[in-house]
Amino acid sequence: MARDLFKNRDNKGYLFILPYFLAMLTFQLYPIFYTFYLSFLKPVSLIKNEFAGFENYARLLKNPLFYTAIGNTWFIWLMNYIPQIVFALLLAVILTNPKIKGRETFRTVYFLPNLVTAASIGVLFAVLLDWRFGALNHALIKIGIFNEPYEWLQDKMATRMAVALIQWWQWFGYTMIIFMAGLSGISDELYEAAHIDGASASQSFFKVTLPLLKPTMLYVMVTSLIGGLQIFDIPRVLTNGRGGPDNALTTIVLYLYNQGFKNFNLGYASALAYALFVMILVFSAISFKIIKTRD
Amino acid sequence: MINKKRILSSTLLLLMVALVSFSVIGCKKEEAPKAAEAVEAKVMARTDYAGDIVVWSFTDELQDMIPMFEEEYPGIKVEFVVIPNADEVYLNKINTTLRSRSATPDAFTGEAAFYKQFINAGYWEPISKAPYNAEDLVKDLVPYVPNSSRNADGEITALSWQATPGALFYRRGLAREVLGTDDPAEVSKWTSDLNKFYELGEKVKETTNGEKYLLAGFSDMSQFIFNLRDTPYIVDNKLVIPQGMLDYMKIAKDMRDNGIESGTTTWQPPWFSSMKDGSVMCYILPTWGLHYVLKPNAEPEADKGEKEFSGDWGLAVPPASYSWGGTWIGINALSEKKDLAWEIVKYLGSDEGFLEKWAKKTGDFVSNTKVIEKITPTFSEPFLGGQNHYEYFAAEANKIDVSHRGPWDFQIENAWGDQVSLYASGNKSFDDAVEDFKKAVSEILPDVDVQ
Repeated sequence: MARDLFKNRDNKGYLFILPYFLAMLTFQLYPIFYTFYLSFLKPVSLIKNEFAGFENYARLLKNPLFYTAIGNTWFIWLMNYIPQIVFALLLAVILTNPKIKGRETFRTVYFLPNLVTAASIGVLFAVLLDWRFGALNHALIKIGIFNEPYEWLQDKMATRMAVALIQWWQWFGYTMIIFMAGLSGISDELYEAAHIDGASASQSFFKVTLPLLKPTMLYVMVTSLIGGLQIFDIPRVLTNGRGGPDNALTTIVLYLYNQGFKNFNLGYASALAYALFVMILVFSAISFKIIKTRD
Repeated sequence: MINKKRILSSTLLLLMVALVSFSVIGCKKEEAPKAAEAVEAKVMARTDYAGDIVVWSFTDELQDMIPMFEEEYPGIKVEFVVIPNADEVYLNKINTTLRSRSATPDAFTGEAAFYKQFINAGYWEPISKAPYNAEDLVKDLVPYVPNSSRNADGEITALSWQATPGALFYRRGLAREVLGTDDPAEVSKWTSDLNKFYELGEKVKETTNGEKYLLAGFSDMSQFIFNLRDTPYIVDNKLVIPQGMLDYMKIAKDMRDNGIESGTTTWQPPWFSSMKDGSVMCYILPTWGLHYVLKPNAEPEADKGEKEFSGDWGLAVPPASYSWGGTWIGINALSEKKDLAWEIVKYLGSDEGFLEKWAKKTGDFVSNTKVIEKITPTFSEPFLGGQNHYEYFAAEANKIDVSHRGPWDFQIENAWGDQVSLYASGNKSFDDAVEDFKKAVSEILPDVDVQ
């Protein structure tokens, strides 16, 4: 039957696209449905589950930790996204200027942190911030700013800011490269025209560069938001996986991971995954809308 | 055109059907693996066994054991796979493998922190009855080792080559400086009682002008504190916080405030490096801690069998008896080669010849009482200045009681440790710490009453 089906030359194309659809159905669509099914179960033992109806969703909505996790995630994202985009844009504009010497070197240096795995960065900062033996405290005491070591990793705000800082440091180089690509797509003629019309440098930046960078901005915004809402590795490594102190670093995905793969409550973790999915969907739609209406 | 459309839609339909049936099969899988029907017992010589088996473990300890097994059982070929459990990788691997009802591996190991979960789930084949008859072995084993692997029906599910009683290791040089003696018996007078132990900490601080410490971190004490309790954490679906843990929280703060511990946390990089720089007097570690933690970190050359090491360590009695860790091995309940898998479990978990060789080779404390009795009199550990640590562990092994251990202890104890740190560092009041611990437990076990 299959042979007859594909005898017709016109139909052979389906044969070639079939592997993609098979992979997509197995590794993307099936897990999405299965996760939904799992979100209605609760564990009896590692291997046994029982049907729990909407219990997981009810627990989720009633649980203060769920809202803490959302708050943490947003806080960390905003705290790194705003400086990141400002820095990236500024550097992109500077480093696309042909008058700047050593542009290539700077680009490479700024991009480098992005190549290091998040796990190593987490370990590095855990060592730097260690309260008794960390370099930061040693330096601060030596300079005379602190009299005694400060426990950074026991302070909620300090750990959150540390993660935001790491995220910023790790990603502004990447965002900068994206902006540079966007900038190089803007035709020189437009700048020439602006120049002839008597526009100043800042005028041509705000009236020419920024509006034409909108599609790039949209891309950066959406990818950063999706990435930011899924932040997981740095908080995990920095706090030994437990999101401490007092869940200050428990982001949505870390919470999901700990519920699913440490406490083995796959049902609750699946419900969390769906909550996150809805959130990303909604905010992606909103950011599309905002940028579109301004066009 | 119509043809094309029909093909496309029928292909998609087919895939959707496959998808749905896939998830239905998925649902049906959620049962515990059943114990195999009893296989008829036969008397066979070791050389009669033949076949290939697969063994999984989270530790590479077995790397050196398996050649010894294969030498005794020339017909059995063991494929050994190490999956480190950093980030719970091993635990999740075992979980997904057994959920998918895979017969591979034939045997696998579990650690004290999580093996109760394996037993609850029925991952390990019960081995008390025929054809395994593990009950016959029990009389020669340190009692708690097989007993703690018993399932809800009281059947043994796994064995272990080691027993893991705890001790306290101290720097002899520092002991001489502080106490004027490095004799283990004299030092033990200071370390075996919690109040005296604290006093010793103050002495260390005074003698060294606060440059050296009794402990690397208060979290080092948690193992014997957790072992001190006389109740499980969950009784009748209610959370119980043992008094000893509340006391520990207060001691931890006193130690931090008075500079008696150096402020590191167990297993963190500064904790390891404190073993080398000589700033800390005592480490509370069990049998395996001596060989796999203290030796390689304190004096790396000591582990290579070279003679330059100082022998500047001694073993003293900790403030309370405890056991920490331990690796068990059991048969995959779904394995198709249970007879061969049982041979390796039995060999590693009870064979006298093997365990004696293993103890002599590594110094690890083994689980067979006959072997312990046999080798104890002649043991001497150069790293401990020639002290016989086996003698001490032999006495301690019988004191171990793990009957209160439950499947979620590791997570619960971690949650407690987090709150102890926050309280000890002055970031939180005592009552808030206890309250937040309860909240953390309700995240781990949502159905347990934490009030």
